[in-house]
Amino acid sequence: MSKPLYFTGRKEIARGDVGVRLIERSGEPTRFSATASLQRYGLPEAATVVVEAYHNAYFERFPVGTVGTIDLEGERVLTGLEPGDRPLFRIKVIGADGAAGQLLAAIDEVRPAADDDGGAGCSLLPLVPKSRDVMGDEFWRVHFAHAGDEARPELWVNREVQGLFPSLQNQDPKITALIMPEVFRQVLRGLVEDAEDWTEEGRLGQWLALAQEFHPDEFDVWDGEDIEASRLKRREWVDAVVRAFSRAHRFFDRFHEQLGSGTTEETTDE
Amino acid sequence: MSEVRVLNEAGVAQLREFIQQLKMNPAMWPPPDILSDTRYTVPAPGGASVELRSFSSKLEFGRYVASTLNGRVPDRVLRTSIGLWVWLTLFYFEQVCPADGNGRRKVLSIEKYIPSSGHISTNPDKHLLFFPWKMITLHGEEAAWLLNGALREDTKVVRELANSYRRNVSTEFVRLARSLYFDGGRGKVKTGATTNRPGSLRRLDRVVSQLDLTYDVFGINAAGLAGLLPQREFGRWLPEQSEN
Repeated sequence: MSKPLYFTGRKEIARGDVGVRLIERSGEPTRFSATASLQRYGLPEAATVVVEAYHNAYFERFPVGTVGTIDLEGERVLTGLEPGDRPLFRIKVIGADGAAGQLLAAIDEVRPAADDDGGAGCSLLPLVPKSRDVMGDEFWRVHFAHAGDEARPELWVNREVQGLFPSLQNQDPKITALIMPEVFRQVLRGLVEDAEDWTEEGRLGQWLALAQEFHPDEFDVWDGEDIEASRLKRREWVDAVVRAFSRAHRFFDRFHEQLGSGTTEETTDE
Repeated sequence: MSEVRVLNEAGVAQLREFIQQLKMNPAMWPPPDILSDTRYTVPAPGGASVELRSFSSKLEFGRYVASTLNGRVPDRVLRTSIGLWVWLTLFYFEQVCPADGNGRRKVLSIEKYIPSSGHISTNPDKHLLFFPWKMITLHGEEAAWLLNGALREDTKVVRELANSYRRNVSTEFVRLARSLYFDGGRGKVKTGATTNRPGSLRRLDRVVSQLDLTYDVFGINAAGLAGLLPQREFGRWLPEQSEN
């Protein structure tokens, strides 16, 4: 008989009850400090509390005592991570005795705050300002952070390009018209150019729902016997979505409106 | 011995172009000149050297490169530097993409040679050299069972474990997978382990990801994890069951 995988009564810790802050000092490994307020969940005093940090090939666990004796004082070193890395965090309360190994309460995908966070928050595509050390001469870059089982796209922006970050925050058409179609294309390619099934769940589901707002067709089922053909079909689907996305946002017209030309006809061949 | 170097973007682009051309003309030779060309490479931070030698398996390579680079080249560079792994790919190209008797090379998909950090479909775990290094670095000999293939091979078991990029950082998960799918007597992965059927390695990844919602899977040992698996699906693979 199969064991139940779900519904063990695990409590979801509210995001407002936890906080993680990254501490980044030049030339030093990245550290973090955390807070957790667990009193209102009625958890056993003896239950173990663990903080996990993860980021691509990096994973580290930090036992921080029990619910009754939780110790989150001070800063902890994230071994091998450096300024610019953005790990996600998970806080778990784990049963003792008869419930050993069972999660009594947890929260996943806690995005840490940092001094240069720029309010990235939890949007579908967080804007993350990055230094020139990270970005080089690139103005922007789509980055996929691994979170849980998912890839979470982020838009990294070179914060040393004057005015770029606030223009993107304010959705200035002079900038978004130039950037966002290609950003959307890279995001979708990164998410679906592999053996991913159509889903309504998770971050991928959110992106696919967004894509369907512009282009109603789902992509074809992945054929593992012909990967190149499958990839090509996915790429064609992405291109169709991006065309519809650009049309819906009237990027061409809005860009010219912002420039004050008023009309676009004089720029056409006809 | 040769100094380990890191290819810059122009160097990586050169190799990418070469691999694209190689698909059309499989008798081409790799561009060895860029290995030490200062226009395309810089020395790896920390300073390390590698020997141009042959490896009988991914395991032997993983052991060698971990013992040679770990502790010298900074962790973060090893974990994230595309240029470093592409340089190693080029350095060991005769083994990563060897020519057959007719001088023709069989080219796999690009991510096997050029990882793309942060891109889900080309994540670094799919790279032919990065993954053996990562497995040996994280799990030591616990990962030996899945690294039997030749360096050039995209083996099914590696492909499945590379796709489990979140769980393959857990030694207990790798140990659990070994206990289920490796036949120690024959020294081989069991038949059917890498299919898409119930009880397969791919399903193990999915089921453990479900268990992750309710159990502290990173804090439970392999035997404990095995006890949480649905018996109906995984019973035939569990060691106790298979001995009956």
